[in-house]
Amino acid sequence: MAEQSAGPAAIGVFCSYVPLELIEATGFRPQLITGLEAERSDPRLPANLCSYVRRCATFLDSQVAQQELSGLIVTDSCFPMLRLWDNIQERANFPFQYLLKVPRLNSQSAIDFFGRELEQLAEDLSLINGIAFDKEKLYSAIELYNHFRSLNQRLLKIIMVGGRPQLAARLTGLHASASLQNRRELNLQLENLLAEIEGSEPDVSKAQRPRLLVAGSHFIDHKLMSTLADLGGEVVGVDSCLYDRIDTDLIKADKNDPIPGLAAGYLYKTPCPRMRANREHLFQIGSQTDNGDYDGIIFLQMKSCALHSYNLPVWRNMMHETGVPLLILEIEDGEWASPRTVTRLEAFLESLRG
Amino acid sequence: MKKVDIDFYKRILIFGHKFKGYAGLEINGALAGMQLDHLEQEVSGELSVVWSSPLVPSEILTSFGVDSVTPETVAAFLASAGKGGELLLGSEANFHSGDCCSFQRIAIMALETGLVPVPQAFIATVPICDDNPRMSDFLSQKYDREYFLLDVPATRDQAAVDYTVGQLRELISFLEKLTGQAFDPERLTTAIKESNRTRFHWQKANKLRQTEAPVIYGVAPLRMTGGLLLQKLGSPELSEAMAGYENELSGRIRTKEFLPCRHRLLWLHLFPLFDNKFMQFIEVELGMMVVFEESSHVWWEEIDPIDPLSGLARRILDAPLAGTVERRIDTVLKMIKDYDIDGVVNFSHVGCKSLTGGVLFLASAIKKAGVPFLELSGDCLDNRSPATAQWRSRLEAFAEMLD
Ligand code: SF4
Ligand code: SF4
Repeated sequence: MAEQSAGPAAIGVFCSYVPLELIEATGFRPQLITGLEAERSDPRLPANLCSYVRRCATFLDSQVAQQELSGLIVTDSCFPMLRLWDNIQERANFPFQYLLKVPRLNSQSAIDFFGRELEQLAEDLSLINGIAFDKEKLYSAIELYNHFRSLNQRLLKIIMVGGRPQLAARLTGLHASASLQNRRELNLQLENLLAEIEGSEPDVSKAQRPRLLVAGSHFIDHKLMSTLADLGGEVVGVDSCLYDRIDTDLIKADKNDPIPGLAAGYLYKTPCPRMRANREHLFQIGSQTDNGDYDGIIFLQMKSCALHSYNLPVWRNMMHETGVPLLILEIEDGEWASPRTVTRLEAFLESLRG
Repeated sequence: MKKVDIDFYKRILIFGHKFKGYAGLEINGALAGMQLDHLEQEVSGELSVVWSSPLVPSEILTSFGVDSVTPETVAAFLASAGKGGELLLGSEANFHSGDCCSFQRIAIMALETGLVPVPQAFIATVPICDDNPRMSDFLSQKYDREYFLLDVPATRDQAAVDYTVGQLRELISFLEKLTGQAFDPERLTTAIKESNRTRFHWQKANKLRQTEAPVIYGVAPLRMTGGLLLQKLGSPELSEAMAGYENELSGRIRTKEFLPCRHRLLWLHLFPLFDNKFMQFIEVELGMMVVFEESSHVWWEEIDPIDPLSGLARRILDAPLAGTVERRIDTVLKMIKDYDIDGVVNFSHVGCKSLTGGVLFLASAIKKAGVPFLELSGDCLDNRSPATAQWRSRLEAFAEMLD
């Protein structure tokens, strides 16, 4: 087992379809690998794999990863992710390495299949921690995460109203640090943030800023959100893969047998493009845009990500129909705050202000 | 979308049907002829066609009288006629990202420009790449067609088989709705028997290629295998053509029509389809004969005609290109032994994240087995800026190294 400074040992995850509750309930701490832990992509992997996967490969090779992580859960979310798994199998040697199969459908048979997958994962995780899997603990973890989801939903509603330009950056900043901290502490911080902003009025003078949706194929750095606010915009919506897709519904689980509910909850959450149901999600964004919820949309496309690439013409078409400007920024190797990115954002916001 | 005008595509198929090229094998012409017949029947409304990914069990579609065409085949035919670059340019103008595989971008543009008719529906499996299902989803929305995703996990255990069998049942219900016909198990049994016949002759033909000296140029099977064959499994015309292929090979062995062979190559993945002279350069000029290619490998067991769904599910799950890379590695290492291979060439098609992503591990396993390995990278369909000169000099050096 890897050395830990304090608290439970960490299990690295790479995809929002891994039920973190299960990791928590088996005595581990989930740690989201953002790809930003590494300075650069692994040059040994082909450049047509997305830089997220190539950066994760670099990180997993590092001393830091060896010290921080006791295990990894990789999903068959996309083929590059499977290649990351191949890479791990070939080179890494963490005490726990697991390939979790996540269906791309949310039919009953898919839920049943995923439920069985989760049971197996729960058993294997418990085994390595030397404990018996405890359904009650899982149920408590689901409640803890549901509380997190409901706090997020409240915050997102406030963000949507506008007049608090830095709020999206603060929320995503807390999410980014979630990978390193305990969920209870994170919930506490979200509660504090809520208390702080619920006790203050939105700054209506700032409500004239262009209202932005930031969507993306992966991790959206909170610094980018902050830059957008500094440039005179206001992020009122976030739709990206690596946060928990935080507008997601609460998980409805049975106390005596929580796994089926957990499986259903994850397969029904806001669908990313790997899921068959993704098109409905895009329609929903389309209708929000139609309703005037956004003045502009910024789409961050991870270079070489086929899953999201096929949505680009759909986004363009949708924005063409609604007349809402769309900026597609292709991101590779942590260019979040590069001068080139900032210049393009500036120009986009300028055009929105007319 | 432009009005459909299939003339250009038809001319490509007629050319493929009539001209055998330097390899001179009957089966290539037969397969192009089969495509041509089906295209004409589709246009006249006699045949309903769906676009499917290579691992969709076409026997099920055949049992409903539905023909399946893989979009990759359409793209390959168009690229071999030198149309790839032009269509890819058009796809850029339509905001399709260069990150999408060029097979899919060309197929999208083939519909957009009316070169081929819009199919009735789209059916995709999760393996062997993310591109085909995503393209199918996109096109089904664009043309308001039904889309079926056959969800397949990345492992091969019993749970994966059971889940996939369930998916195949869903596919049957989908086809019942699409065609308005009830499923007829007997028609599926007939299609499975034909598919088993194809498999039988295909395997025998593969075995015949294990001879000391080759009797065919590898370009011929390279051109026909993959999606072009898999999409027609279950059809009697295909089993007939495959029996002919086996006969042609055994006939050539009987009459000792052995071809000169400096080195025996195993070819992995694709080859530049737009350059008709490329394989000829390797096989005729350099004398490096492709004695076997990954796409010809028959990896599945005979399927039980009475209870076919689990066999069909296993065929998808066991595909060496599906899932994790280790099964591809094991398969390639076995091919090296079976075909007494001197060197392996992998053409890494840049758009293919799924397969090129695993080449690193494949290369290291092949080298560990003491067999020289060469990787060529590029876009096998895009004739705009091919690196053919560079590929040729690397192949020359490879041939010398093998000497
Ligand atoms: S960015 Fe795209 S390709 Fe990369 S891991 Fe995520 S979904 Fe897969
Ligand atoms: S080349 Fe690769 S990405 Fe392209 S269609 Fe074939 S398997 Fe898919």
